[in-house]
Amino acid sequence: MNGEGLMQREQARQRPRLGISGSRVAPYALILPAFLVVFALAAYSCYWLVRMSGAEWSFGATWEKATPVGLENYRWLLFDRNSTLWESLRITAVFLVTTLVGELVIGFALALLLNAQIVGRSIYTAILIIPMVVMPSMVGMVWRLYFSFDGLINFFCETLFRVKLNWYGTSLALPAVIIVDIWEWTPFFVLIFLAGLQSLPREPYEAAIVDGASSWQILRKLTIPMLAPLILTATILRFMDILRIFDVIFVMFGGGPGTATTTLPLYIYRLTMVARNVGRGSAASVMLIILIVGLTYLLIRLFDRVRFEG
Amino acid sequence: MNRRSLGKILVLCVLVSVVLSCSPAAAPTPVPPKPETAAAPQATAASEPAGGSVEAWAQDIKAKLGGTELKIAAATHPSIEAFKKMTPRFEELTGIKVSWDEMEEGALGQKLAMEATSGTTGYDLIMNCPEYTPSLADAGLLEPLDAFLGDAAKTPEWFDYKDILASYRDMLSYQDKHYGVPFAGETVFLFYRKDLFEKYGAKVPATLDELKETAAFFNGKEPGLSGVSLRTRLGWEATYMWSVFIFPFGGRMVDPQTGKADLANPATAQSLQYMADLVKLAPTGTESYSFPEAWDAFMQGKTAMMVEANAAAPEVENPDKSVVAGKVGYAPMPAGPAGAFSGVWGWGFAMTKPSQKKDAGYAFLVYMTSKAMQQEYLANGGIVSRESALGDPQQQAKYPYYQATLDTLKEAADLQAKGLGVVLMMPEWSQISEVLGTEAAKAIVGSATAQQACESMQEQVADILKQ
Repeated sequence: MNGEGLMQREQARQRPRLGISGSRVAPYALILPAFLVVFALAAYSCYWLVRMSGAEWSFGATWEKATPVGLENYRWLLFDRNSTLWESLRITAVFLVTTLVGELVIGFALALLLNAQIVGRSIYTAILIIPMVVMPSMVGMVWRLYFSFDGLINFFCETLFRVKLNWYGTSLALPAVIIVDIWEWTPFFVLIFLAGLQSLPREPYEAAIVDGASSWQILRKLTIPMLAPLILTATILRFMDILRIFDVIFVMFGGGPGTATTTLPLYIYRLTMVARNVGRGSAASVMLIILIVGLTYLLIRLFDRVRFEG
Repeated sequence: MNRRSLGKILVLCVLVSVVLSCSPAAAPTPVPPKPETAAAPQATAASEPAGGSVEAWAQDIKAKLGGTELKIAAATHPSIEAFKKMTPRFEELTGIKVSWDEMEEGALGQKLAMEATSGTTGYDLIMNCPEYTPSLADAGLLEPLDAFLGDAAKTPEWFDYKDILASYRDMLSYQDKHYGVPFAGETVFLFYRKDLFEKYGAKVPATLDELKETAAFFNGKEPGLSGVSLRTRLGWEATYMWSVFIFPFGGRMVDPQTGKADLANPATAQSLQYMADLVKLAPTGTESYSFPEAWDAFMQGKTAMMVEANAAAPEVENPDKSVVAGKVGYAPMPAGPAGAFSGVWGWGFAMTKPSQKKDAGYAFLVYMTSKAMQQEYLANGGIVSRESALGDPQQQAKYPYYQATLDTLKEAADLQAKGLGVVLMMPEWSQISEVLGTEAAKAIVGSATAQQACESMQEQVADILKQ
């Protein structure tokens, strides 16, 4: 516990208690309605999801026609040789790691650049928002055209490197959607980091400069540690989003060519809405939820540790 | 429980709800073809067709059913646009009110599936296609039309059911009952560049072997020119295109006699290998092509041939969009070792079983899809489905693809006569189609051999059919 926290606690103890607003119950009472709504909705949906995941049910037949099959859907997904769950998980992992690292690094670098005393910072920031606010289906369609064999990307590839690449092929389709996701979501990090950088205190920097620290040392020892909570919060938010990625990939390649871009959410969609196998789709959804909640919980733990050590 | 762990629980709840709220977007839908007959004469047929006039029939209907209100579910489609334009006149003639519930195609499929899940519907008529038929019929949502069609009192002569092409008539039948009167359809045939074929003295391929040879001949013949274009995108598009090749090779998905999965036969694997080979003679990136991109490649002069739906023909002949307009020839699907076959797919009106207004619904259906109203329907941009229009020399002169369409639809009828089709009329079709599309897409990109893909399909389809 750091000094600041102790001080707050001391102040809280000395604050006079006036009615409900000052009582210990107040925060819980205030959060209760929102909590109940969110919890009820989530619990009800989860209950049905789990129930459906234990049934063989084709979308379009009445629920009465569903037959309970126990854990069969999970078994099929995990062990059947025709299930592409593991392949989708691999694709999801590749997608997750590359986009997250790419967006984080590029986002941080851009934020540092924009934080320097440059002319027209607000204009650059405004431009940066554009990719995030464009409708994802639009992003997908436009980039699908850019990546076509005679498209914009290949125009640059040909001009610069004298090659034209088949972005629609199995080996480059996944890199293509990764590039698009990085393009679309790097600004998210830039905006958060820029706000963070601008709120940092000036004094430690002045002291470091007086002490003769290099700019690399300042970045490593001052900026990154001070921004750590923000970096982690942004990462967790983006992490959950990336695991659920659907729209852009769906529009760009629909999971193809072959199964090259079938991430877990796309696989779930294909199972549930296309093959109408609600049981297997639900079972895969349950696994995705466990995956997201589990990994996010680990990230939050990490977040707590970093925050309190820092 | 301390504050922090409570906070964590809250965060987790929020996470769960966020995950649950991510709903998938609707499936992409085929772009409706352009209206075909912009300048056809306005309907005069309505006044004096053979077998009593439409007006006399309408007066009778008005006396019996006037004031009835019909609710119709439909997808956005040029034919529906045409029907909507024809609706005021129908309402005036018969006194039956019509309310259209029009939505995007993917939404219609999901809406009808939801209604089937609940076991009832508020619609009197729905727009129906082969894929919907078995599951909607099994859910007890559809009324067979055979009794209505056989009832001369309800079906005037000017309707002329037999004039609708045989392959279309049977497209919406399931377990020997007809669940719809078709009004629009499509089939897959061959588009070729007449100018290039003349320039290089090439012969229009009559067999699938010749098709591959001709595609190889033209591939790279001119800068930026590929042999052929076709759709192969993962999912139904891969299934649809491949199913056009299965039957000419003598393959099939399911044995129509026993109902057992029959995908592991060598002919099926051969047809898949053939398609994968053909894709190598198509523009780079074809493994991801959806049908608009396949059409575009041909329309921009990048391929010498195209194996695609006839729905592309009006676009191909539109000089605003296509640089090859006027230079294109059309031929029926080339024959394979087992004969010449193509598929058929399309839309029709089906009547719902829970409807309390079946006679009014049938009157609407008869009026809108009749031969007597055909001129008006086509003039308003409806898609052709009748032999009298496709075989009309005047129309054929105007639309160079009518003859090839007619010939290919006869090939499709031959396929139906064998109990086969590009869509299996069984409620499990959506699952089977997904399996076929996924495995075929793997074979096309080479991540599995055609043989492996077919074996995997056999295993999964047998599993779906519980065999």
